[in-house]
Amino acid sequence: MVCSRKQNELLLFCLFVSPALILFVLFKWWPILYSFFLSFMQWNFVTSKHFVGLANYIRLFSHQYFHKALGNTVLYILGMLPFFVVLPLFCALLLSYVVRKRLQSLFRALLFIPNILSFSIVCLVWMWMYHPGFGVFNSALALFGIAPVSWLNDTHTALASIVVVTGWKILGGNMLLYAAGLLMIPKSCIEAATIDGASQWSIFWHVKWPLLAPTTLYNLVTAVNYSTERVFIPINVLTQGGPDKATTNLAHMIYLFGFNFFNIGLASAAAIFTSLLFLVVTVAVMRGVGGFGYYEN
Amino acid sequence: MKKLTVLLASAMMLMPSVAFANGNQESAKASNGPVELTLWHRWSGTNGDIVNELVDSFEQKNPDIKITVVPKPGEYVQLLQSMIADMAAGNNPPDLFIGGYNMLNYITRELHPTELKDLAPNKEALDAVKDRYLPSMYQITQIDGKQIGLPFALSNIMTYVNMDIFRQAGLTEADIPETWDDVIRVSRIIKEKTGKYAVSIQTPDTWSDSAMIYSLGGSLTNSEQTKVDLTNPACVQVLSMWQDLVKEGLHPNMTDQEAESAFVAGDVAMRFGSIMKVTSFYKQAKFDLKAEKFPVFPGHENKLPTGGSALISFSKDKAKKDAVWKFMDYATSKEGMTIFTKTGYLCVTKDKVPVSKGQEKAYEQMPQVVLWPNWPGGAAGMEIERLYLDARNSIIMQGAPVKESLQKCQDEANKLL
Repeated sequence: MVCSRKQNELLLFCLFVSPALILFVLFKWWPILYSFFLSFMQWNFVTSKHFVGLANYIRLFSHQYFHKALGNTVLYILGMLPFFVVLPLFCALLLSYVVRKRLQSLFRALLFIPNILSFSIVCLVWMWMYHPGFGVFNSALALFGIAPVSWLNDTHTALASIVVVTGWKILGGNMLLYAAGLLMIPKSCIEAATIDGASQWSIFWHVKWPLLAPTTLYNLVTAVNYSTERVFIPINVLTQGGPDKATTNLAHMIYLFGFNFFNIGLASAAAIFTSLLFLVVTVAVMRGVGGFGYYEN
Repeated sequence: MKKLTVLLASAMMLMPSVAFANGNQESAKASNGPVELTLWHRWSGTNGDIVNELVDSFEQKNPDIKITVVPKPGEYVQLLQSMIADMAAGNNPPDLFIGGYNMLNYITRELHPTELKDLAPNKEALDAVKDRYLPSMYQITQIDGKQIGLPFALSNIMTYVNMDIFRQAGLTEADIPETWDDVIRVSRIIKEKTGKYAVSIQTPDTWSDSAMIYSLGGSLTNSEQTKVDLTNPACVQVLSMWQDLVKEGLHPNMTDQEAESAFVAGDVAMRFGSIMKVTSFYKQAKFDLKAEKFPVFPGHENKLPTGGSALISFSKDKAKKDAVWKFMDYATSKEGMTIFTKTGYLCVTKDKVPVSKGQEKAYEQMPQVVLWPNWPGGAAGMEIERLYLDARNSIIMQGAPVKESLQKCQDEANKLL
């Protein structure tokens, strides 16, 4: 009887888990495994596949796009950090000092609105703002007698322009995460520090900041993810990786290899490399911050 | 609990059938209903509306055929990318595909479209359609000895002029440039008198480059079209001239989208671009717009690449092939061309259709039209195109050294062949 109940529980467990598991295997693991398989093939979607061994990986590491895309991805990560950690935390802290709840909600909503807008539409709006002829930025510069800048077509400004668009869009969401993190901090900790005579800065640095570690870790990992993958949308809409590869990143490079050059083997090799790199960086971030990320009440 | 278990088990059993229900569209066709076709094209806005008008008109005359139009706004290469990605996802290729002339080699060799002789019900019908075209025009869609479709959209490169800026600069219609020397001279006057940009040349692909380089007697490939040749004198001269236009501030340093919108907004005096834009330019421009011939290099005759696209089919099913043929027959008839040429594209057949405002000069340029050169190497050509565009943009917009950049690009491109 006991055994039969255990079997029933196991069956139920499998039934409950299997829908999610099937979808996960079908849409996560199968594409990864298939990409790994394709990375050793020469294939252009329509002809039959030919095994080419490590040729795609060898070509990838010597490809001029790869070096540029990898370097740019690092720049994107560095550029995104202020929008994932510094500014959202600053905004969340400022808002926590707004006493009137309605005003606090209003500010939060205003900062969060870009987050729910379609990224492509956001890019189109910013494209007009960046326009060298009649964009708002150059109009502002003109007031100070500064010559117009070709924001999206100059190798010196294009990548930063994409970072700003992305940062503007995601700032509100990250701010909400920090706001939620601040609310989770036990009031007793802050009260104890206040009674001990700690300054506002000390309270932040020694109490709030360490207790916000899980949020910070999440935002750091998301920053890497965004810089490697999600920033593809503004790249593709605003610059298509140009000028002269100045804004391409690993995701855009994979897209080019796969859907512009129809070289699926090379694109798959690049995708596998990117996944591994992302895994290594994520683990490094998690370990590098000394196990911070989890704390117990 | 038992009920819940049964419910979950049923849901799991149903899942695969739901997931793959859309797997084979061919079999989803109703046996007694109208024949359903899909038509893919790359246009949006006014031109997209005109394609819809053409399809609506056809469907009214053929109620037994229903066409689903799938617009994929962008360049021809992006349309092709979308189709290949769709095919890779397991879907059937479209019944009707309006593919760029510069993609025909790739489409024929890699995607195997249905030959025209297999679409036509008989030789008489095929010959009747063939007779609508000049032989040179009909041959555009003949690849490796196979007639893989019908020429449909036809364009060449034009000079669009903002006459308001010309007048502000003290210039008249007589000053509209006929040669590239004139372009430079007039551009300097415009810059000096108005402070506005004088000229912008469209950049999304190699069309403008080809028009200038081939007109100056150069080429993008060797004569056998087996290797990339970017270091010939004409190529170097054209890109040097283009770079100088940007360096002097006569040509805006902008993305192509930005440059086109700047022209439409009245911030650029001349735009070198496709005649297919003529209708939308006249619609959007709030200034006195003129469409004129593309300038020549003194001592040379223009060789302007044919822009535009062909009607191609991938249908293999008999009923669909018959329906596809009916659409091709209608779209290339006088009535079909009368509707479609409202886009600004020129008439590909010998029929006399109404000429839209601005198209006159484009028709006058037709004797100078040549085939839009394809890069060698089939699939490698796609990568070569990107290499070239990167190098060219780097030269004209970022001021990279012309000869060295072209030599480097040529070496890298030829390594791929």
